[in-house]
Amino acid sequence: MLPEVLDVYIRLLGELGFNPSSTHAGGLRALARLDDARRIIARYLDCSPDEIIFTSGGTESINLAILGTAASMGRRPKRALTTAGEHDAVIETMKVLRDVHGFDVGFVAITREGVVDEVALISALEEAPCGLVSFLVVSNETGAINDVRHLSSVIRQYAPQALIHGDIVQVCGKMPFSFKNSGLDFASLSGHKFGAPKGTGVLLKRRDVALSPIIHGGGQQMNIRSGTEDVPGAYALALALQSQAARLNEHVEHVAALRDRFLCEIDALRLPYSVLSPEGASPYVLSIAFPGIRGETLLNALSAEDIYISTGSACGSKRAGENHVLSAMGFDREMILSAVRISFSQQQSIDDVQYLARRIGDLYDRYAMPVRR
Amino acid sequence: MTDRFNNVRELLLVRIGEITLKGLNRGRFVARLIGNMRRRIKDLGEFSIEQSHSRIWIHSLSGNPLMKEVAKRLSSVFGIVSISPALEFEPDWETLVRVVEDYAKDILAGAGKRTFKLETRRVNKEFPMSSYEVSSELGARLLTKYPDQLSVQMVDPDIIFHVEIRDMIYVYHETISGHAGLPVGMSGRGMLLLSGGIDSPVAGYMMASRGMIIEAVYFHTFPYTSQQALDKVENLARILSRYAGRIAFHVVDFTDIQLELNDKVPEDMLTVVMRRVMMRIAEKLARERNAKAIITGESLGQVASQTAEALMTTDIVVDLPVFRPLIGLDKNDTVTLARKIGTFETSILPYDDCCTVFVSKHPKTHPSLLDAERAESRIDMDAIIEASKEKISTKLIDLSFEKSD
Repeated sequence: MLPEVLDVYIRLLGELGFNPSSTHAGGLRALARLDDARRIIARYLDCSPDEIIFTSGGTESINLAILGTAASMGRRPKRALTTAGEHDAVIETMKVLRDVHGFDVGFVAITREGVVDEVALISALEEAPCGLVSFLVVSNETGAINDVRHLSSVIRQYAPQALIHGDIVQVCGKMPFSFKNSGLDFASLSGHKFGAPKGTGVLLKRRDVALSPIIHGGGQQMNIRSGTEDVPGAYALALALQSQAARLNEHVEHVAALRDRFLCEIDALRLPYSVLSPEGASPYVLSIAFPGIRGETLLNALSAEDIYISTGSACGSKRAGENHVLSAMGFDREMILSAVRISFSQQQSIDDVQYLARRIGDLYDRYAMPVRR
Repeated sequence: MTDRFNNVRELLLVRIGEITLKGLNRGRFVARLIGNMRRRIKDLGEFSIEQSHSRIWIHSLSGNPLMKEVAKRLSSVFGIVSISPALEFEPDWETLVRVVEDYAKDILAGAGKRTFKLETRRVNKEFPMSSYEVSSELGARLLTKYPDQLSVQMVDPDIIFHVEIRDMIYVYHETISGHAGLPVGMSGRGMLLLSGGIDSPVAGYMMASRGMIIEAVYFHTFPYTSQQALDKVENLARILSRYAGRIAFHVVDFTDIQLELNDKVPEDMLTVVMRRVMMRIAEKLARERNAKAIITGESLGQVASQTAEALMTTDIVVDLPVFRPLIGLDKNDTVTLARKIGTFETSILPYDDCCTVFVSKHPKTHPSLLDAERAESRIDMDAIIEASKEKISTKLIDLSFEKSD
């Protein structure tokens, strides 16, 4: 969490323990803060305050967008498309759409560069009318960036009735984003990815689009997301966004420098490696493979030194060698087994990444085994 | 119940099956079993545990007897065939009627209609009624008392009320199955090669059920295998200790040895040589710990390292008997056992162990002894085994004092 956000968050937990739906003075104060949060978020994500629905995080936002749309499809065709590069939150929810709600669900291929394969997308859109499309804007695995505006306009062109959901979890606080210009009907984001507390998130919903609730109760948040609002969490999310936005360019430059320096250092070690992240990817995440050592081995060894990296997606504890995104990009099992995912952030220094590269070099020397087949 | 009647005591009646056949050694078996039972329930209060009439009788000596919890824990102690929570009182007909009526009331509370029968055993011939008379009279009294809920059914009724008339009368209806076998400690000590898989915990359980004290050895290959993999194996040992009692858990830091093997052993023989090294280390450890056998979870033909030839090449490096209780078992039967003893869910957690990380793509399935010896020719085996002594850490795992869940 960002330190300046943590301070305010803790203070609000104490001061604003009121229910914003209550009409007493405490409740009204909480409501006012919630409105403040909406205004701040609206400013930085270029949307209207009434297009903001607070949730418990990215996963809930995605579930709400997809399942809530499914329940208010009207005359739209019960066919949904997403891509092979999505986070599990989208993939698993799409499976529910297919298995429980009887939708026809298609998974569009991604390219070797990890972005949506536009030709495959267009042919899937032409194949049959489509009512919902969901795609990942920045990949959590590789940092690959889809051009959100362009993809949205392609989808509109071939499927004018379709609602479009964008997973912008890896976008917020890391690159500029305009909901208004994105062409999206929904966008999901998660607070803890940019310095807000865990358990905070937002679904952006275009004002003129209908959405059914998936959580029922007291009718809060325009009856789309019942449950007493977490005012300190919402406000902390807004503050974190504001704080990141203020220094966005500076941060991105720093993080890009960290990644580039790390790659230079790795290159100088003269050990075998392959960068799986494509050119032009978001610098915040790097997918890189070191053939000869398993990603898990490297993760375990670094973890013993309190250096934390990932293999696959940190959300699931999968069996070795399975990563649906890297597979969809065409990498083979051996490459995936030796892949790790390194997250860079503005809190790290050049020294940190130099050290990391050196440690990887040492551990590689000690533990790598020649691939003997 | 005990509050409502004076002089009615709760107790557990424990049946001990196989041990009663032990002739002259029987006393030792029973003493060991009682010792094991005591350890298992030590933290639950004070109990008197006595053996007579081929059974073990447990009375609580402290105020608040947690007889349900006691019965549950004891059901996993080897040597016990079954347990019945029972009531005990002076042999008197009117007391018997009142107690059984009251006992039935508790069982029937909220239970709807139930069929029942009575089974009476009269050992004390001074009791004025025959067992037949007791059953029919008592049955009649119950039917009068609970006409809407109870009806008699002789074959497979819902409830069987057992009445045993001895020096005292004992009434019970419930029989909790135990895991039978022999008391742990009666058959020496075995060194179990414990991996994170499904088989080896079951093998340990089976040998413990024949009275062996179990020690476990795990070969840890950090960072190739994770801390989670080690935690998982320790958890398996912990589950095993519910049955086997205290387990000494040895962890061998196997990484350097593994690296050397990777370097110097032909790839298709890597698994066989790795297992031969593990067996040698286990044997050395077994001798130090005074264990009389090595235990593995191998099953013939299950994987490449478990063919007859591969087993022969691993067996031959040790001079202790190698017990493989699963050798002729179908995998499905092993899984059934793993589920029964509660290790299955832990075993299938997806952390790699060394057997999966270092598996070669095309291992030799029918290695000869000569193959194995040749494969080891570049290794200083004595040095490896000697050095392994410094790489072993040992931890005692004892569930006896933790609450079972």
